[in-house]
Amino acid sequence: MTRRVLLHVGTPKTGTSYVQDVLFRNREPLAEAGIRYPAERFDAHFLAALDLMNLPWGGLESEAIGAWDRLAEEARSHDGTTIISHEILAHASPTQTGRALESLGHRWDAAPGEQETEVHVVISVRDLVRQVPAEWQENVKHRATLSYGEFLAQVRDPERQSRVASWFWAVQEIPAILERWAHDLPPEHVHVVTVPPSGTAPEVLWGRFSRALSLDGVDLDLEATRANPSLGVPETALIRQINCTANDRLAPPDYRPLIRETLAHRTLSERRDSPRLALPPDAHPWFVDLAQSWIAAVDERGYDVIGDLQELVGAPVRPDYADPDDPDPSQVADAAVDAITGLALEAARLRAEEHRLHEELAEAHRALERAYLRPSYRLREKIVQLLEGSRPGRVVMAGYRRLRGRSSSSA
Amino acid sequence: MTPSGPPGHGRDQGPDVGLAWGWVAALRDGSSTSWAQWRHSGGTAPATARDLPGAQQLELVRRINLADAGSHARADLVERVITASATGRGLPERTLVGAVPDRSWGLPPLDPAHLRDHDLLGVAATVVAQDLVAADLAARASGRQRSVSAPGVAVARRARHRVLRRRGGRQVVGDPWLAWTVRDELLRTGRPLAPPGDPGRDGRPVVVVGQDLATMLVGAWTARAFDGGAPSWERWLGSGRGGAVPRPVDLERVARRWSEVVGAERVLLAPDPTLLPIALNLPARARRRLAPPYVSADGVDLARRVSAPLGLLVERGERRRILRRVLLPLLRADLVEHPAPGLALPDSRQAWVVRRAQRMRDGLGAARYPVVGDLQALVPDHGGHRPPGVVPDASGVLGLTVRLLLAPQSLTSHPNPKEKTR
Repeated sequence: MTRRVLLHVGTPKTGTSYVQDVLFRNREPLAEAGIRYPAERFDAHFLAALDLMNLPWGGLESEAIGAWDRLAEEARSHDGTTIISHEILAHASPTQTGRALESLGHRWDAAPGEQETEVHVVISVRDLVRQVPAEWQENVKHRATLSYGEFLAQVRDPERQSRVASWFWAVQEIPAILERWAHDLPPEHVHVVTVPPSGTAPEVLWGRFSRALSLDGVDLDLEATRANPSLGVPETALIRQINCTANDRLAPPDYRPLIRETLAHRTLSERRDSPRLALPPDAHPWFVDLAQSWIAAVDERGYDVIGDLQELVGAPVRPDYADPDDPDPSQVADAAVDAITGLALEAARLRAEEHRLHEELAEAHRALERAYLRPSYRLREKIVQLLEGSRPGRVVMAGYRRLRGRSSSSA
Repeated sequence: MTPSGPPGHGRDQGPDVGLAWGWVAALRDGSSTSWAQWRHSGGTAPATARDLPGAQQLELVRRINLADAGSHARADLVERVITASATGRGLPERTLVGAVPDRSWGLPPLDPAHLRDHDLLGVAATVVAQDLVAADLAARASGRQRSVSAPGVAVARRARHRVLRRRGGRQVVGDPWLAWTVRDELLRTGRPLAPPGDPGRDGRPVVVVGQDLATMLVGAWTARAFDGGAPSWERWLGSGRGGAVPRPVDLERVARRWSEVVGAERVLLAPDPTLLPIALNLPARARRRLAPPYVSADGVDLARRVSAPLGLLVERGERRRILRRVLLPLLRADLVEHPAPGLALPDSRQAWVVRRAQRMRDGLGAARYPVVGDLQALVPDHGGHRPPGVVPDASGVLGLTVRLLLAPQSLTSHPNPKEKTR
């Protein structure tokens, strides 16, 4: 059997969480079909990507030490197809992509027929009309305080000096990502999956992924258990205002469960009637022109395109554009009411949990009291007091405690 | 390497990747020729890897060659630099102008000479971090230094803390760099010390050490840099809410917090380092050893930059230990032959720090804690003699980094630290 690695390297916000969830939950049926998705935990490939790319990530990097080499070793040891998928792999530099491919068994100076491993690169791509606001929203959900206008200005700065711009283009600039990952691969081993326009049935995108990842014909459970829900304009503006006010006082370990999970993902994402984030009309043509140049660059390479490159142009300007830097105050107030309600419910849940723990502690105290009141305990206590009252007795007690292997003075 | 045209003659400036590989080969051999000169008169060579190294890596190699092309450490160092990647989300690897075509996408190719020192430091810090881990592994293997995370040491440390608690250790808090030095000295001389968060034996004061606020700010950022994860000096200075001083040097907050635990009468303020032996009940001769180690401004900034890649190689506790026990002595050794000014507040902060120090002095005075010395010592005295200080400078930091990379201490063998620490 040919050893083959399908390397899904991005991009973010293209349904990657869903794909990774399906692959992780279906490891057994995949294995029966000769396809390995080597992951002991859901974020195994994320950790491997952090390790490969020297990326610090809020302390997670310490769990990532050595993760890439372990993953590559698993891929090399499997005589069949292995799938590796994480969207931040899009960020990898040429040095890092070279190292990754070599570790998977791809030699840069070998002919295609002489490769130890047949590496395929899969990249899923979505139009900038949706990607730009989605990236800003993702920044806001990770404590960012910069306005949408500032974000757009930084992204459009040709120097790309800011961290925001540097990251954005590293993970979104499709021709550059393909150049870094796939310039020495045969074009038929490079699969570009385009995300269809909003409103298209979800099965369409899954069908494209299924083809790119050679999953057609494998019986998989496709029910979604993980999602990265999006927010509307007033909801994102509200989170940004909270960041501005609370960042100094709310530690990162508290921010994640309270703001990102409870507030953004579980409460505000439920509000579907508010205006959606979009590109401002004055910036729209700039990004569409850029997309056209990318389409031409990708098209001329002759890659295996699954979908339609023209989908990268994106939707036209929205006539009802709502500016998140100047949101409708009444809409933000409505979102704030929902936010307060959501946090109050979470506080109530935590209070109930606290009450339960207090009860558990009280029960443990009561059990301890009962143990103290037993006749055997009282007898032991008397013996200890007797022994501690004389020097020979203390020597006996010291010997007893040494034998017990602890220095506690309790009986 | 294949000569490409007679020296001194100009040539077509179209993309020529072979020419770039020729420059890479020359750099490997110790050349310090710039890319611009090489494009004019250099030769070509076949590729030796899938991709050309990035402009940052190649320019750093050239700077290393400029510093000391004859160093024994150079050849191995150059190979590691060529394959190193900068840590984090900063500037991506840049391509060489003239080696690849200029495309409609991506950052344009550039002449590496136009890179900022800051850009080269991203790669250099990664290599320094590898060196530090390798040096630490070598020291541990030779028994010169023991890891605090080694199981035996951890057990011994916990046992020691238990003993110290029973015997009645003392707690020393406040200015982080000074407090670390004091605690280190107390431990070194076998004096009981309360563990973090523990007030120590009843009746013993919690000693809040400090000095003039400007020096405390320098010390606090220094301590943060040698802990790992520090922002830049300017950004850290502005991190206090509403113009307040950063939390680690907010002695009012520190004293208030401890007074809530042990009562105000057990919080002893020591705002004058010259009187520390009295506050700590130590002999007067201990004063010299209670002075924090001097580190240049560039040295502190290097520690800050190295901490990020180091955090990818070792656990957090190990990172702090390596920065303080391995890097700090190297930085101090470098100062012998290359004296460099220490860190100072930028001019724009001078008036602010005096105002804040006066407010701190008044706040602590009003709370009526016991004091050894005069709280006026917290206020920087611009009239008195102070050694000149500077803010970190990327050029100086890069020079220091290259010296460290080429230093004899770096001649330890270089196993892949990731392999060794897994």
